[in-house]
Amino acid sequence: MLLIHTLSGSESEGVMLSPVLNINNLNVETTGRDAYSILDNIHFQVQAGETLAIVGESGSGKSMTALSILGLLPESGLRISSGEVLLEETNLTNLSDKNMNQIRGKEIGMIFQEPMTSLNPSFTIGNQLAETFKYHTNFFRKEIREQSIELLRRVKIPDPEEKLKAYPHELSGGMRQRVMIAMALACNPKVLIADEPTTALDVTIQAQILDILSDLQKSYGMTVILITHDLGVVAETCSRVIVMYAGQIVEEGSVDEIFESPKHPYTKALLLSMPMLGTSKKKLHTIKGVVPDIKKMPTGCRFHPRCEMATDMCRQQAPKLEQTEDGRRVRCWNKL
Amino acid sequence: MLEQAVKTEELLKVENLKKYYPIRGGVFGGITGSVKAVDDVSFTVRKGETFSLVGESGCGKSTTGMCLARLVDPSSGKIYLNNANIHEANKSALKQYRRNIQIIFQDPYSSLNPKLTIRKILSEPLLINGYGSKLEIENRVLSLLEMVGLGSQHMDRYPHEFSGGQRQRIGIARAISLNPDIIICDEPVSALDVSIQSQLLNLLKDLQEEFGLTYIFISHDLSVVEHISDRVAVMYLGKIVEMGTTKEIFESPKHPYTRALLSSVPIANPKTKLMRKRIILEGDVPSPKNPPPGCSFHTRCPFKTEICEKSIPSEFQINKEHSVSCHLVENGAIF
Amino acid sequence: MSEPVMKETLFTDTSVPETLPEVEQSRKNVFWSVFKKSKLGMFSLIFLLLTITISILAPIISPYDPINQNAAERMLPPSGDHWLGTDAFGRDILSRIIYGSQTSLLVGFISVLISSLIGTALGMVAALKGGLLDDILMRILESIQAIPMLLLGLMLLVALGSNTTTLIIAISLGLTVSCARVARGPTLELKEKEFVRASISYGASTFRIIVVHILPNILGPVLVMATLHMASAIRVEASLSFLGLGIQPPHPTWGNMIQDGLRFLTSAPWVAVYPGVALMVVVIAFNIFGDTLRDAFDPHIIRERK
Repeated sequence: MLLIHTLSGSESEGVMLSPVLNINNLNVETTGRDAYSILDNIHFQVQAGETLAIVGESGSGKSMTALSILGLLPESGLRISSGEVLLEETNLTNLSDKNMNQIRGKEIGMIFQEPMTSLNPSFTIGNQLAETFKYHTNFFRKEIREQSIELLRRVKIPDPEEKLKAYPHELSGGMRQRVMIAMALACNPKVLIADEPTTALDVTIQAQILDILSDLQKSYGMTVILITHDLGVVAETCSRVIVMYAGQIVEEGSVDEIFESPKHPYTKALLLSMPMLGTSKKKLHTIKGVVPDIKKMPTGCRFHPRCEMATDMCRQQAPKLEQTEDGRRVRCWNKL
Repeated sequence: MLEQAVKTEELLKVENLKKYYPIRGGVFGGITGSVKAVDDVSFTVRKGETFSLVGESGCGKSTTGMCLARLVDPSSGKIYLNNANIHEANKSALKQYRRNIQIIFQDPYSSLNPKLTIRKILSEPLLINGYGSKLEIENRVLSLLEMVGLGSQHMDRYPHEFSGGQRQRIGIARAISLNPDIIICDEPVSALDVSIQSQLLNLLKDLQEEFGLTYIFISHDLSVVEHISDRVAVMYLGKIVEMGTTKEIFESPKHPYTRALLSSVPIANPKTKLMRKRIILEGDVPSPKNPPPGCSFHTRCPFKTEICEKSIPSEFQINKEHSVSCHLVENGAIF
Repeated sequence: MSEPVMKETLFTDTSVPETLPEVEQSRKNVFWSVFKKSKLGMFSLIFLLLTITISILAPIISPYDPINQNAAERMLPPSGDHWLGTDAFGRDILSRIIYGSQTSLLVGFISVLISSLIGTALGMVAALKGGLLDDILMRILESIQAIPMLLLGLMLLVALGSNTTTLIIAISLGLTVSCARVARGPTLELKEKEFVRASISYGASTFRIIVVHILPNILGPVLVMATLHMASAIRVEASLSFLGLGIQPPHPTWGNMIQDGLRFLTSAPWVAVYPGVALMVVVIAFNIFGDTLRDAFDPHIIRERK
């Protein structure tokens, strides 16, 4: 039996933190005759040692944000039109593919939703881990083996020596995701980006993975960006939250603030519309309509057609992402 | 509770339902074993209630649903609908039975034929079952669309023109079109975003209230199950390990698996995380090809004792509504 | 009791669909844009349409009678009077090629039609019913497939005698097998789809499932296959006629024209070469058209665009 401990907002506030990652006014749009905006002026920082959540529904742009940071936007169809991604001092948006390959895996680790597609089915786990080491370090064979075992141990894989010889299909979904985390950690990256790492897993397995992630974060001061649609996962593991809607950041704050007193109507509605364990509601709150089509973004505030509080102002003018007195950021004319 | 007092009329009774899939292997493709997808499951569903089957992937909840709809033939066991014996039904009785159990599927994209308009999709069941004249069918389709919150302007569109949530509404309309006795909802909201999910859960509840529908709700999402169900059965490796009213299961779970499952659900409230004691289970669900002897949960159970490895626990009645299959609860070793 | 609640909570979800007709359009657009983008595909389509028109209008278009012999004009090289020259019996090659296209296209079309109908039906039923029926049917078809189509044609023609009907039967038989396989694969996939399961649960008959739910969804691959089969059918017909087992002279087909001209290949190459070229070009055109059709139907391309 284990207890989950995570760095809560209040603990991290005391320490002076420096941003590891700076996303400055990042804009992504579709290429082609009509350029549609996919990400609109995304601007945020990731502090060393924190777990930052980016939440949103499908189509909110949360995964696109991750892919832009990693330089993995699909070559055809999308491009970064302006803005920069600063990893400490380096601007990642100008890097060549070759240099970016060096950054990925070494400086920024990543794990994705479906571990099966990210692992090569015809090589053993040991081979694939060794590959990562060979690419980014100049370890010798023995060191590689020792390091690999140590990594698997860190992600709590039982008998790591044996598992090095296993092929991906011989492992369960949860084990594969652990291997992915181990591979992402191989070179001690400065940031770990986890895109829906537990969405494809069962609850009990999800609990194991989240436990590992917060353990790693606690013991090694890992900086994690967790991208998810699950507000429950956010509440359990993260210290700071960015809420995205239709390609924009609509709200940002510490996890306690966001869940206790959401300032954006979308955040609030989202929280209310979730059935939550242990709270019986006769009726769930609903948000009318669906996420807008990128080709037909509403004028004014992008959320106004679905917002219960929309005014004429909201329909006509787009609100800016403003800093509030308590250091949070909200994009709304009628903050709650 | 008053509400529960009303819902006592037994509608569906399932006894010792089993579904084994043969494993073929060897040079000649002989049967070398079996996957026990559903292994000796018994329960009853009452008229007007929502009965949920909950569990992780591979626990047999969907197979149970497919057996009930007779889309999969059970290996053995008895099914009674309105006291009529279904497991021995002949072809025409089976057809009649099938139309009384309709399904809402998980995937809103593969549950509607992409080549048919909504009008055709919804009138097909009516047409096949001789609902009435063309005009009557048309009117019924219109009222079905209205019931699920879609307008008549959608009639002549194709499924790909709709969002996931809207498609799921069409799936619901199709399922209720024949006024079935039971609707099996197989993970109906799992593929949808939170904001759309709540719209549909409310819709399902509204329809139930209005038409007195009976749901068998299959889901892995405990929060959703708690919200929608009257009674819940928790499944693990093809067996029901605990069954009771929603209140009993969620407020005083007895089986160690139910407890672990409940404690694993992330709760969207950062305050509770410090107070909650989480039980994180070790390891994975064993393969149903080769389930462990004795209690199938013993390999992951934090409380397991010697007896758990040897004998299969039988169903122990805690009270009239609450039963559990666990040696330790039965012995009084855990409460 | 609960009615007022219903009216209040069942809001109508109509806030979105204005955007939607575009999707419908874009699907057709994708099909056409792929087609238009492929210059070769467009070209082969136009070429094939032209060929079909010419063969239908053969009696009007062709400058000479294809069968009447004219001893005075034997073995003339291409000229203003005879654009593609004449053969050993003094018949105009161009006219014979035009009439020959009638045979090729007709034999091809009928055998592809027969094989597609029977093959698709067999494939769908086998996949849907499964079990022993599927096993037996597929084994029979596989054993037919083990014999090369040309050999199969030879055997049948020798056994049943050389005539157009036997030729069509022979070619259809060979093509039916691959039709059945092409139809069976996607049907197996569709069978597991939830809309098919739903239709079983509301009582649809097997026939209805096939006609309403399966066939429209496999029409794409079936059409692609039929186009590609046109090419094979024309090729096999030409080969059999070349071997003297297909359509019998003096009736012109490209196959027997090549056979006729083979003896004079060095002295009068036009007799054999021009029908050969006609055959080659039509076969290639059908293949390119089929490939383009496949690309246009391929859902992956649509997904990529998304």
